[in-house]
Order: sequence, then C-alpha cells, then structure tokens
Amino acid sequence: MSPVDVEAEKRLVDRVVQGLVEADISKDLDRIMELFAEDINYQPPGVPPLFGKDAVRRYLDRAFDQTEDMIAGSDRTEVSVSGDLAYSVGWFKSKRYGWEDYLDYKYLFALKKTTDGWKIVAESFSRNSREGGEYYGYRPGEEQ
Amino acid sequence: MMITEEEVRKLRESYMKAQDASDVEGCLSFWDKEGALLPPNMPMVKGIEAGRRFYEDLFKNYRQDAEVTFDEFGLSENWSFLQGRFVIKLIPVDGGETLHSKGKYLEIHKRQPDGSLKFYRHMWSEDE
Repeated sequence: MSPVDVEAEKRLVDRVVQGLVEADISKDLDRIMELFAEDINYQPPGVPPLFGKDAVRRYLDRAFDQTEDMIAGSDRTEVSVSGDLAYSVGWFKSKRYGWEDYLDYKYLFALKKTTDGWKIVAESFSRNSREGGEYYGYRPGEEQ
Repeated sequence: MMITEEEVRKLRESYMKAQDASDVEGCLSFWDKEGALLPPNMPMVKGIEAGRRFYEDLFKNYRQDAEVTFDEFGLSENWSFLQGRFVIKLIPVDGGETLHSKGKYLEIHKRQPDGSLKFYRHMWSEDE
C-alpha cells in the first residue's frame, strides 16, 4: 500500500471547508448538500440533532431566510495519518435581517474520505454569548 | 496503533466519573495539553488553566449527574472523534431545584506520547 500524502489530503479537506464557508455565505443549498455525507449528523444549538441531508436542508432553508450576511474562517484543520479522517475548527459571524450587530459562533466539523471525496459527516456549532437574541436559524416551535 | 472504540468509551466513562465527582483535577487529567471545551453561549475554553477555572466555577455551583449515548465513532491512529447525545442533571450545591438538560456533543480525542487518549476538543449544545 502506498504511503498517504497527508498534506495533499489536507489541501483537499481545506477546499471542502472553504467550499462550505463560501456556500453558506452565498446560501447555496445545493452546493452545501454536495459537501455533506448522506447521513450527516448536524448539531445546531437549541434543537435536537438533525440526521441526514433532507433534515439539514429544511433547517438551513429556514435559517438562510433570516440571515442577511455571514463571515467565516477556519482556525485549524487536521487530517489523520491514515488520510481518511479530518476535523476542522473555526468561527463565523452571522447577521440577521433588521439587526445591526453580527452574532459570534464557533464550529467543529468532522470529515471522512469516501469514494466520492471528502464529506462532512458531523457539524456542530454554537453561540459565543447569550447576548444579542435567539439562536441562528431557530424559531421556537418551527424548527422541525 | 489504531485507536479503538473501547479506548474512546473508557476515556468517556473515566471523564464522566470525574465530572460526576466534581473532581477538577480529575477532569483536567483527561485533557490534551492544548485541549479546549466549546460550550454553548460562551467562547472557547482553551488550555488547562482556562479549563480549571471553568470546572471550578461549575462545581462550585452544581454537582452533576450525566448519561451519554454514542452515535458514531471515527477512529484513526493519532486521533478520533465521537458524536452522541447526553442527558444531564445539574444539582445546585446549596440546594434548590435540580436543572435537567439534554443535548448532543461532538468531540475530538488525541493519542498522547505515552499512548493514552485525551480530549482535544469537546463541543456540545442543548436541544432546547
């Protein structure tokens, strides 16, 4: 078996993470779904975990309706020495329509290498403060 | 050597025993030296000293009783991830009503030079 080029895999993972950030900012749901595993475990704050692309698409569709702007960046990405697992930690700021201030969030992704390339298998994110209003994308009673 | 599910489960169970015993140093003993908590509604708690303050504040006010389930393991030679769900009781130290919470978590563990496994990132949020 040939040795794994971890740096090359990391560049591919960085591309997926950057692709997700850009797709989030442009609210491109189809592109986002391409980057997710079919059975993704999506963990937004304030709602039970969402399993699978369909549930996440519904959630994000609603979230994007409320989001005027977003800025995001990655702090650290690491690929396993076996070259088939990765994680990425980072941050984003989200501004809702009608609001003056951006809300600060942090995120953690887990990725797996599949026959169809790197896919995000889990995503968790949360606010950095209780100040400033409700959670991103969450309207009580309407989340499901 | 590949990290096993059994190792991850053992790390999780040992850490929870320390948490449920309000044992600050016990909890920190399961952290990578660059470990961090990513709690909801507050910034990342990064590094051993910040972690110590976090646990001291928590255990000063609450004793906790937690149960977790494991939804998916991701295993490799040098690190692993685990995602799952939790149910927790926060019991005020000075009396008062017990708080109940449930939620989900995603965490990263790293193989240490001595062969042990420790927490590198631990993120969670409540369902409500």
